[in-house]
Amino acid sequence: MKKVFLNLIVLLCISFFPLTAQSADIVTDMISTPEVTWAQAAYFSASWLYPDQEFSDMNSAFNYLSENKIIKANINPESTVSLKQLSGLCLKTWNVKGGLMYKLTKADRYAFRELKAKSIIDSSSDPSDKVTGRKALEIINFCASLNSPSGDL
Amino acid sequence: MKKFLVLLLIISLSLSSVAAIDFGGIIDNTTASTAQPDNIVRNLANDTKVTAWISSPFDRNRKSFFIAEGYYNLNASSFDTSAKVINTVDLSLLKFSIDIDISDSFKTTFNLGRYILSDLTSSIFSQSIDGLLLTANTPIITASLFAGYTGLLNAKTVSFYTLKPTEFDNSKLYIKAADCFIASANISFPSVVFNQTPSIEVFETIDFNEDGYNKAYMTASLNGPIVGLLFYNVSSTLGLSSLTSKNEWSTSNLTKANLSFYPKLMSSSLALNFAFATGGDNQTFQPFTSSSISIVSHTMSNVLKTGISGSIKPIQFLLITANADVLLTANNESEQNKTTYDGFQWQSSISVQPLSDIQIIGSFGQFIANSGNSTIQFSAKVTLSL
Repeated sequence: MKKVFLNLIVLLCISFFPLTAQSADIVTDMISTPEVTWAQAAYFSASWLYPDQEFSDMNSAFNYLSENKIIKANINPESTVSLKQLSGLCLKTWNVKGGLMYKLTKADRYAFRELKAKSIIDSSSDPSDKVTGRKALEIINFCASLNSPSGDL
Repeated sequence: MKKFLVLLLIISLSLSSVAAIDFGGIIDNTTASTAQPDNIVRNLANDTKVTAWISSPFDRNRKSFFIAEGYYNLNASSFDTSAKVINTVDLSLLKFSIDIDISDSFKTTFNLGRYILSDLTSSIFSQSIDGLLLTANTPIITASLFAGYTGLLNAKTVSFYTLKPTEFDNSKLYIKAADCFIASANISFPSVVFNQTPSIEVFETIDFNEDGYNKAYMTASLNGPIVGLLFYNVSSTLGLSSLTSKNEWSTSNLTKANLSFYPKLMSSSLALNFAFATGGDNQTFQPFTSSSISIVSHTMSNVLKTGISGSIKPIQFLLITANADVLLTANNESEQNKTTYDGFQWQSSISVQPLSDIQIIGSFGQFIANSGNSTIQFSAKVTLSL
């Protein structure tokens, strides 16, 4: 069952992100990550937003997003990302339509609520919860599926 | 009261991890009227409600948490000649919940504070209450025990029957409700045979007021699937009531039955409903919570209500519901065990959710009495989640 689930996630990633060898390694590492870092999350976001850019590693992708003010400057790339923060990053990256409060404020807490309303985040989850790699990939794939055509990893 | 609630909130916040605190709000506005056609505009009333909520787990595994919700409501009936404004504040939820797993197959939950509680039938007791609820779950038995007190509730937001009615002063924001002690015990056997779930419940209410009106309810229910997507739920309740000063118990009965069908078509449902509440000779079935079951405010007391209801969700953000019912009253006092046709009602509502945090609900209904008189009910509500 576990293997089937993992294979499904990898297949979903491939369907939305044409994988390079490097990005395939990142997806594989991400699946077994217990708590996703900002750098890991940033890699997927940057690869989508800037398909023409070459990112040698996850930190360079993070720095690129930071320089472009998509990620706040005071965030450490090695720090773990919360469910609320990942929701905010995903809605910005894939331009997912949110509720009225999200449209007005673009705040992460309303991005989190939007993904809860879309049932991709469990209703009992807290915004401050850490995110497993598997869950992060689920959220990323979901948001990417709402916004086609897909970019490159 | 205020100091007690503030103290509870401070303790809760100090025990919880600040980083994990979640909070939000809801603003809603309702315009509604229930009246005969000539007076429908004259009876329009508007409610504006501002709700704030906060929740936080006490541990990482979310085995324990607290949640609180309070609101301010402004009710204005400006079209009425006796125009008035009523302000109300209430703490509708303040719950501490702890899950303790004794073993993999034996799990317990403790809920302490103020929350909504319903009896097995949802017609006898269904309201906010302060108390302690213990629930134990095993694969074959679910059991719960509850003990609670009504005296800290806001009488402006709950309605239950006592011989000494609460004196209302609408200039006050919060009026303490009458003192009653509530206790209940419930055992059910989930899906024990052929997915059928039998349940038994005893509900006791003790009125602390001088010459109080005490009540006990014993309910047996059975629910489960019949075949495919067809489900049923039947229950029968023996009601006992007595004045504190007299040692005589009156008996009464509430019988409910429901047949529900969930076709695989646009998340739709269809149900046949039946409820009959009556007493013996010169006696009355009286639920604890006083709530309306019709447009013209019938309560679940000496009444027979039967009808059909349905709902459909043709697109993701649109929900349509409708129901039609016949109501008969049981006149035990004047004509023993005789029921008389009282009227027919229909209601329909449309709920639209254009964005995830905005909901608009419109509803319309009509009660046509045996005499031919018609009463119309209308409401429009807009909700924004913050």
